Amino acid sequence: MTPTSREWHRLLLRQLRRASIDPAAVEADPALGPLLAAVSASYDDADQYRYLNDRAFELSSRELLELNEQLRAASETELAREHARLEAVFDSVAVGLVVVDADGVVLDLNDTAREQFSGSEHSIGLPLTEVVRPPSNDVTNDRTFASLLRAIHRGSSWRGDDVTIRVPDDRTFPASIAFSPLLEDDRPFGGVLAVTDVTERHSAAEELAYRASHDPLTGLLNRDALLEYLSSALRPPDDPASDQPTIGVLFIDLDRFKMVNDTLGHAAGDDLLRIVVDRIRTVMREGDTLARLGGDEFVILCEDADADSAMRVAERVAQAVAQPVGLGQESAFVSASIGVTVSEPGSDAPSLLRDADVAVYRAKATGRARAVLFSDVMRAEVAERFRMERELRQALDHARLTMAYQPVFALSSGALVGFEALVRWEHDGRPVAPDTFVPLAEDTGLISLLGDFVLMSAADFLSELHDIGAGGLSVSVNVSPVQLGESGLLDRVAAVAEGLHGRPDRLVLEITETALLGDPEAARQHLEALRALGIRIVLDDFGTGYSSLSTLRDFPLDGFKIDRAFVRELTTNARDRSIVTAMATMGHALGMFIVAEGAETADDVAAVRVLGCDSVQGYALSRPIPAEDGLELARSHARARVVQRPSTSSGPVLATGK
Amino acid sequence: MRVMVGSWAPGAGWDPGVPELAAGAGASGARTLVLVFAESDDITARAAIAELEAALPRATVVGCSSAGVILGEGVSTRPVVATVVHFDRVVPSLAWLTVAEVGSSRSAGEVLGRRLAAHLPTDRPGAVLVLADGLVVNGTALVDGLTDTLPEHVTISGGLAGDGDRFADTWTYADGDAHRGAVAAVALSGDGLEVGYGSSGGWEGFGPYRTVTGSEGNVLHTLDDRPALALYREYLGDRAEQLPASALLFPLLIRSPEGDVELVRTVLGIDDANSTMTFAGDIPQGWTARLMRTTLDRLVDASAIAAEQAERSLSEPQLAIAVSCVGRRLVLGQRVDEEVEAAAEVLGRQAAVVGFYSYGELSPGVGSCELHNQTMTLTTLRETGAA
Repeated sequence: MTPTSREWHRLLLRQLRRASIDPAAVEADPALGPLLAAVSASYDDADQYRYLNDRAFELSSRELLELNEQLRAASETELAREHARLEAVFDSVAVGLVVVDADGVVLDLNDTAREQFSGSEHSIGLPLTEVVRPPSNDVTNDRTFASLLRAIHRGSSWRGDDVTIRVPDDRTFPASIAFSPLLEDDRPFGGVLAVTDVTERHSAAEELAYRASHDPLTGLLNRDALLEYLSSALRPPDDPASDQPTIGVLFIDLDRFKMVNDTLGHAAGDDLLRIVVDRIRTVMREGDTLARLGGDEFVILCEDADADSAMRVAERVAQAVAQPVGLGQESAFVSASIGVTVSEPGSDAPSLLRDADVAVYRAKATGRARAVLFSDVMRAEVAERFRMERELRQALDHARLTMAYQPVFALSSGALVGFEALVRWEHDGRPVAPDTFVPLAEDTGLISLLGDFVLMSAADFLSELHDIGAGGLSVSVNVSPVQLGESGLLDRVAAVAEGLHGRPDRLVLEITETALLGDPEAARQHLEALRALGIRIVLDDFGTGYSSLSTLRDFPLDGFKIDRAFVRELTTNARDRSIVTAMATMGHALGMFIVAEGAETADDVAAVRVLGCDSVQGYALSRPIPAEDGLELARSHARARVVQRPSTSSGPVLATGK
Repeated sequence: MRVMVGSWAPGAGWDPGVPELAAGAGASGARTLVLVFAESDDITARAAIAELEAALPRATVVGCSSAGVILGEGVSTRPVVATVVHFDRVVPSLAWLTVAEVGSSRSAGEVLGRRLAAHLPTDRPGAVLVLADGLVVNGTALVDGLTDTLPEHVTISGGLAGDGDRFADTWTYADGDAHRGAVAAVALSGDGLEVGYGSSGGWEGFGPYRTVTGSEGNVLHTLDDRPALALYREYLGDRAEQLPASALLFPLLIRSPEGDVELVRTVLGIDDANSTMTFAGDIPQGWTARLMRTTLDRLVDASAIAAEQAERSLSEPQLAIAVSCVGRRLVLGQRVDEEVEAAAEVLGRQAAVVGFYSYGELSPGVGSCELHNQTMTLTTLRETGAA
């Protein structure tokens, strides 16, 4: 529908009026009319177009603005929440967090970090190095911090597990530090430093390490730590030109410590050890190291010490230890046997300790309470001892040991009353003294085998004596202190006693007084159990060593043997005669029989008879003889007895002697 | 191939006359295609078409109503334009049917595609021109049905019939009569036939991105949970009175959630009772939607760009069938001729340019045929070598 001229666009109508043209007039014009209508429509189109564009612009602007506002409000709320969440997380972690920029300037700290670095309240904006520093004059940590600062600057990750840091109030503590960089398009803009205080972990680790390396009683280094320390001290110097310093090793073994422990109790023993350690410390040189190997064994390492200076230290230690130790009301007397050795190039820790131990052994063997310097001779002796041990073992294994029997005679009648069984070992064609190989067997645990061998041989001999009609003769067997404590002894003796045709008293066990000293009550019980088998027990070597009268009173004994030391001097020494007379009188009063051993002359025999002993053995009457000869002697005495009517009034007579 | 274009006006009849238009037909007349585009409100157009058809009894005659007829370098002032194409070797084949309801659009495409496939070579280029009802048919579904059944190398193009700015009644002419709800498709194949195409819009999104929160097929309910119709009313202001036509001024740019598909949708109708709007293609839920606007210059430039695309795919065409959107015509107003001019200038004087303003354009997009909105779409033809 074409609009009429009245509906034409206002602008067109105004333009026509200005030109004094009547719209109604031109509308009818066939050419101008449609033209002006089209112009009017164009004006309308343009208006519409502008109207819609303006409106769209305005509306969309408003919509976008509203959206923008909504987004901003939402994001501000979300940002605020996010910030609160992060802040809470930041402050609640137990690790100290420090936010820094790429120049290492502190931007923020969490609560943990503020606590760790007390005095850091005003640290925001300060360089990190003013908040967390290495301890002064600590080169290692200086380097560590320099490397951390480089990592921050470069924006690379960094970790240090054992860094000592110093905080503003000058406290230092061990920490593990991890740095995580913040990157934007691969460009660093700082990062977060996580600082964990590892003080507790450190002290726990230190405590563990301390316990593993120290003796809890004395706080001294233990054996492992000592070996480690000694090994590292022996390590050749980095500079081959410099001399390897020598190290003195003092191996200290307390004498008689076991007795203190046994008599005064372990608590007193511990006190004594602590006192001894204090004393040793006072006489050590500055820089020397003291360690406790265990029990009553200690070691001093004297660095840069030659043999002379090490021995001087050892002498001072021996003197210091030898002073009486007051333990409550009691006083204890201990001493130190000290073995000393000095390292040589190439020495190793275990060998040095072993050498020092050998020297201790020598110190003990030569009278204790002294210091002995290890020598190559000792090493040779040790080697010899090892060889002997090996060969003794072989001799036992291959029955190369032999038995000898020394006859024992009654002093009243001169009749043969028995034998002392004695073991013999020929080594390299020469006899080895029992004094040498019996202690060796005791030290090396061969004593059981050796004791069994002797006991079984004696049992055989007793059986043979019975077979030839000499079933009244006794055989005595020496039992070492070590054997007495062994559990199997009672069973073996019982088996032998069983085979003695109702005369178990024909078997006599000889024990020394030292066997009764270690644990007297246990020893008494052992002896009573043995005696209950019907056998007899005598105390050997009476009159020497401790020779306590209480031993005779307290232990179940059937008799004792007077030590040869008294017998030898009887003819010349009136005092010895008096002692033997007293011993015999006392013994008889206690219902015991007395044997004199070591009678080497007819005068000796006459003397012991006069002084009241019951029987005698010795070279004056017979050396130890082989079993065959012993049987022959028994036969001939049996024949003689038939003729002479032997006396029985003085009771059985025992054989003994060495 | 020879092209004759004639126009018809009530009272004045055909110019040139029917005998002249029909003169070029060959002996059989079967190689002749007649395309007729008409302004829909001229009820006498049907009689004019029948008159022409009577003179070319063996020719394939198809046509449709429109929102304006394109001829030469502008919009025809005469309501009916016929383009008579005498091919040398190409024999046009027509298939057509009526679509009872919008839901049948896809199957309609499939039926037509299968029928025409028999007339198309599988080894040579071919073309299918589609003229479809603009109100009943869902263009997207129709195209899907066609592309599924036609050989791959066949160019599908055409448009949806229009009804001025009224959106009330459109028709498609086939088989001697105009039909409501009909789809007519003509297959063109033969040695020497070359086909080109181009399509461009010139619109651009503005304002906030919105989310399609309520829609069913091509019926849009809500954007950002707010009735879409209310939004349009607000933006149109006074022009809301002219809905649905005025909604063409603000087409909708929709984008898939993955961001890989972007389509322009134009309004076909509104439902005030339900506060819904019907678009020429689907508006899937969850997609992003944004209002679009343009300027006169951009529309004209886009038309030239479409012509350049067509020119690149086929130079010096003999016939260019231009299908442009009714929305463009509304914006361009009296300056609508400028976009036709811009295209014609690019295509050259040898090309006869005919076409119509539609309710939806069909043309290959990135790949196969798509329904476009708010574009200038050109299908160009040339037949080389005389028979």
